[in-house]
Amino acid sequence: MTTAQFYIFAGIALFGLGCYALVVQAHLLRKILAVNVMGTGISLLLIATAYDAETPDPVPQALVITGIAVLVSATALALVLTCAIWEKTGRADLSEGDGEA
Amino acid sequence: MTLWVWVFDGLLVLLLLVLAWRALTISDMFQGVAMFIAFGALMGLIYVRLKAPDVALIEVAIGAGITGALFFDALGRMRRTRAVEAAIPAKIGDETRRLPPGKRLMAGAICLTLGGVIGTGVWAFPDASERLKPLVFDAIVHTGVQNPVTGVLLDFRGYDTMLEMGVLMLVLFSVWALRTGPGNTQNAPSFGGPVLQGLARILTPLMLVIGAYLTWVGVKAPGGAFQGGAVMGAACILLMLSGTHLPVRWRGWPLRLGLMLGGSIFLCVGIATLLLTGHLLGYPAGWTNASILLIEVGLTVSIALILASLFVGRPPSEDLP
Repeated sequence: MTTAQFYIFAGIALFGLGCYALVVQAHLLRKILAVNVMGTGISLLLIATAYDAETPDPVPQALVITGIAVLVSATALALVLTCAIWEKTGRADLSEGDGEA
Repeated sequence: MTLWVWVFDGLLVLLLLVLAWRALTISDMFQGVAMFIAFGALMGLIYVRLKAPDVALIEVAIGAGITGALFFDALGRMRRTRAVEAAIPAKIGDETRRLPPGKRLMAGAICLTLGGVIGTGVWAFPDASERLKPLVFDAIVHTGVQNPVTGVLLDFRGYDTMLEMGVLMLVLFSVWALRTGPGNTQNAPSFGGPVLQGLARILTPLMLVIGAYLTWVGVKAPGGAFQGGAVMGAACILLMLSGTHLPVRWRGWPLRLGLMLGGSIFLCVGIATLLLTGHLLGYPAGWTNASILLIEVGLTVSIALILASLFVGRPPSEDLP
């Protein structure tokens, strides 16, 4: 197993971990944290495929830089929405009954 | 020697998975977010080990630092609201309800299958020599930059970076439109005491200079507009946390001008190159270095202001003193 393959497995493990936490956890902030972990896992996967002992491949690295910047802005939007839900309903999960305007 | 490298790699990945797991399942979410920040810093270390220093800079500055700051801000607001209502300090995270074990097993099986599908997909990747790497390194001399990542970001895939600025602006508009963010807490007493104030005074000019340097050096060494902009945005957030706010004079069109500077410079250069050479963002020969630098300056200012504005959450109000 090469270094790149080892880190590819690590990236997939992180992705699976984040996916599982996203489905299982009920608290919205934990779900956003889980999405961040998933994104970080995929970034690790991409960088691992770009790894080479002498000169790494720059294209996946540029993709990951773009991805991380977009992930932080999506996280900011999700957090603002979560705070709005908290203020309006007093709960931080999506179990609020139907018809709550 | 290689055995020690494997031990090092194994320890890094083990720590990474343990931190991620604890960050997601610990009951006190403040500790969870703190572990997430440590997780981000460890990812930065792993990226350096995988020979991706530009990505490591971005991950630590944005992925660990600014994301952590956003989470702490949201958590603090939720704790404040609840404490005011119930008059007890609430430990956020107690009220989560989890799925029953049967559904959890199914979710675990689905995630394992998903991981397996991704793994088989990645296994079938062609070798690096058949991908874009040789093309990049053959053409890098025409860009005039020595850092291949900056060359890819701003020359070969400059179109993607331009659209990314559009995405960031769009998210800022959405956050402003919601008008439920924490806002510039003008009425909150400036907290932190003399340590935070003094630290902010010392660190802010340093961080601004470091950000400018990162942008400048991104042409030939690891760095670039995103990294420099992220450090500058962190300096703005530090200023806001220690009580300094943007003067009212600057909250109207100067702030908005700074926010759109990056995207509009990018667009103007794109249109100009389209008219001059017939290709969108096809820089004319000899002008590549200057165009890239011009775009990067605009990007740095815009990214710093966008990140700080996302942290504030509310559109700037012009009636507060």
